[in-house]
Amino acid sequence: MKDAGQKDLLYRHFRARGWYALTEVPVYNRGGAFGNKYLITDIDVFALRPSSDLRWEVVIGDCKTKKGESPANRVLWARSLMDQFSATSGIVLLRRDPKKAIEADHKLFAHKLGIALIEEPDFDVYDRAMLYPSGSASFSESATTLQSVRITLSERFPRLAPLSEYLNAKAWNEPDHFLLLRHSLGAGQQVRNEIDPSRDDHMALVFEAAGVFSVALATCVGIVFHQYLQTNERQSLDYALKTLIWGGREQYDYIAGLYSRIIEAKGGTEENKDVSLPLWSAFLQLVRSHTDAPHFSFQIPQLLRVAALDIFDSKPFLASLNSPDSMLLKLGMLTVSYFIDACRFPPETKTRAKELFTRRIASVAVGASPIVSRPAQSIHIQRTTEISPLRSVDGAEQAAGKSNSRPMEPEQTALPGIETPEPSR
Amino acid sequence: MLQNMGPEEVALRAQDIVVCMERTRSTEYDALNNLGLAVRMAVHLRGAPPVDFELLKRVAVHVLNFQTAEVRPVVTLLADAEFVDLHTEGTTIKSVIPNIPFFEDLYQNVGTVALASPLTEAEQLTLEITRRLAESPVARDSLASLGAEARLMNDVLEIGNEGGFILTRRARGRDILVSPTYFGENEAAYADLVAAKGAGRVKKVLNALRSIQGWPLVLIERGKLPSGVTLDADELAVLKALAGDGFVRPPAIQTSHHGTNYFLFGPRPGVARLPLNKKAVFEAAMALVAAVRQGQLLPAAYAIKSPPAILRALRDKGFIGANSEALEQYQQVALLKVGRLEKHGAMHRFVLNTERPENYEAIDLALNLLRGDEVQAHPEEEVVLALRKGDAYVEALIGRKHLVNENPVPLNEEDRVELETLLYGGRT
Repeated sequence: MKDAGQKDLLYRHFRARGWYALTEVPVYNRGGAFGNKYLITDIDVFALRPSSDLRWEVVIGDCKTKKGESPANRVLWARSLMDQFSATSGIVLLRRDPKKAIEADHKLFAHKLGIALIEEPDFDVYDRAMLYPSGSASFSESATTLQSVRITLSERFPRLAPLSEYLNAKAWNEPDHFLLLRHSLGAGQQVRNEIDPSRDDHMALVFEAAGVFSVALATCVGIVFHQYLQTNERQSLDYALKTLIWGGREQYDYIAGLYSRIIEAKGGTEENKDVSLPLWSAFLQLVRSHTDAPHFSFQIPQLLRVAALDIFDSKPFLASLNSPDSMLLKLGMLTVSYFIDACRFPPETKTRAKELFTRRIASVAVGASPIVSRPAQSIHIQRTTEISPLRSVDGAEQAAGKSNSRPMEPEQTALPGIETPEPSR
Repeated sequence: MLQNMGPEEVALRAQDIVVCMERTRSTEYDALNNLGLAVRMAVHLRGAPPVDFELLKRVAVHVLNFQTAEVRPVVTLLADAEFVDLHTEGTTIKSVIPNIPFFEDLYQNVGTVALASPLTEAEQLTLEITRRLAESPVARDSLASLGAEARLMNDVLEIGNEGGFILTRRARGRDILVSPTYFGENEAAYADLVAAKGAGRVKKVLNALRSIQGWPLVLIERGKLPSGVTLDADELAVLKALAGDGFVRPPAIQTSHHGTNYFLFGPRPGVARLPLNKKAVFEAAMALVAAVRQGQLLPAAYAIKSPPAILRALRDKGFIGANSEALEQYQQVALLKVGRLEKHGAMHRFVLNTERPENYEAIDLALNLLRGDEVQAHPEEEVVLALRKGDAYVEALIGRKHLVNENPVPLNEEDRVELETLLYGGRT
């Protein structure tokens, strides 16, 4: 990896700020004549930052170790990349000759373009100020380990290349997150026969792929939540999502019509004609579950990144997270489970993923005590009334339907030996 | 004995029974009890974060009226239905991770799993009686047609009365059985109506009313009902009686072109279906239905073609487009704080108050009413909060519940009349 040190610095900084980050994201001409054939450049560090109104904001990080590099030129370069990706802000990190510090006016110029222009020696100050007081130096994740999961793994298992290639190159050049949603599932389905759930490195790739899927899922959740809040009408959510995912109702109807004719021509059944996402009902359930706590949707990719790296490095699962919210973990588990089912990975993949999550959830479930001995709690007596039909000697009286008031059996209390109170009913 | 009752309906009725029974238990009910409690727990776990099992048990026992020994089998039943995931250490359940479906039929799924174990004769009879009472109060002696042994019938009715899911009201010399779940208000008036007109007739009218919720009384009086709804003169008289003395006054809208119009609704659900704190939401839903029915059936100029579409637009866009009739049409709705009327030239538009989440609930309930669907059970808000906030909140909640349970039960109408008869008996 070139400029590895600077990229690692920026990566850790972005991750420590709670953003989803990647290094060396290739840039292609989207929607061009030759698809992803011709590489234009790459983004040194690409980050997605959750906004307060349930959207992703793209942040571009540019690193340069060449000492003679012009700061202003570099800022303009970064700005064009930001425009290409509709980024909100950028950081340019430069290594400079100590005798040629960056001009204050150049920094101001950069600021006007939404870019922080920082010299490498000053980065530590910036880091500690933005992540007061200790910065990101002690953040445990490294870009190198991430590369092992995302790139190196497919070199050892070439048949996993379609998924790796998608995650590393194509995913971030999709024009929108709805294509990302569909294509990430497609990429997963391509390698469904190659995933071995007994291997930690394969499980790590599954979690990483689910993380990419969950970026797009969060975008869907944010939009749907603003439209409907927490709807319990399946029809509304169904309509809203199909319209979103396929780029509008007309587009959906057109593609659904084409697909239906293809299936019919191939002799397929009625069920197979539906062009919505795999396991559509489960997807609706997943989106609706996310709308219970939509801001967590924008933390799921980061959570699954930590999970992937913990599995890869054989560390205790999500142990580095300090008291994570149980709802966040639950939504993470549901997201991974859906992704695995939709990609048709071996069933053991889901079993293993759920086991990892449920064990971690147990320690943070609402009401779970972190210590063995519980503090003294008030003891509440449970009172119940037990009914057994009492029969009179004369069955005929009963058959006549006369309403009788019958004595009830005495109330039972939860603790034996306590005097039975008068019946209250 | 269970005639054409699918798992969904069995689960629904079982839930109604256990909610009414509160802390009371019968030795005759086992599977029925578990099923009802499972549905009750599932309704409260929907959308909840993972919960420690001990906390869930405390909430279930002290707030949802479970017995301690019932919690584990119910949670296991929910796990079998794949509604929850359990984290266990050996045989000990440590935490419960809910994944209750929002759109699939909760009742159908739980019912199907639970009915793998057959129901006893007493349970089947109970469900069948409850189903009949859901449609209309019935005379006690009419239940002989079920073909059950007299002794069994008496046992079940006794359990029903003691357990609170069957009310027996005396009317015109007959014992009339009423379900408090479906006839939560005016049970005496309904009992009298059934005694006078017959359960069959009342049942037909109530079924018709469920499909035409919010229909204007003036059109009913003229015999103008939608196609597919045919009622004879006697049945129309029953329908009109539902707007009369003894019954809750139906919602009304005052108009300059048509006077005051009343809009008829079916029986309001009891506490088992609609907690007391949701009554205001239900009132708002009825007001919304009345407003769109006014526009649909008694407009001054242009009729609304699709009331549900208007309500969906209100929910999704946040307003209903300006029109000349909005001021009168939505005034009652505005008074209930569902929204406000904004002037647009000579017209008004109705704008939803989006800051109150209960207004969205009211719109969803109104759409439910227009579809003729039963009101589904609502979770108790404090239980929902307790499952999210943990120990401190649960302790406070349990303490409050104990205080609340000290309140005396107010006299019902029948007891009050008996007491008055006793007090004034013998005076000239």
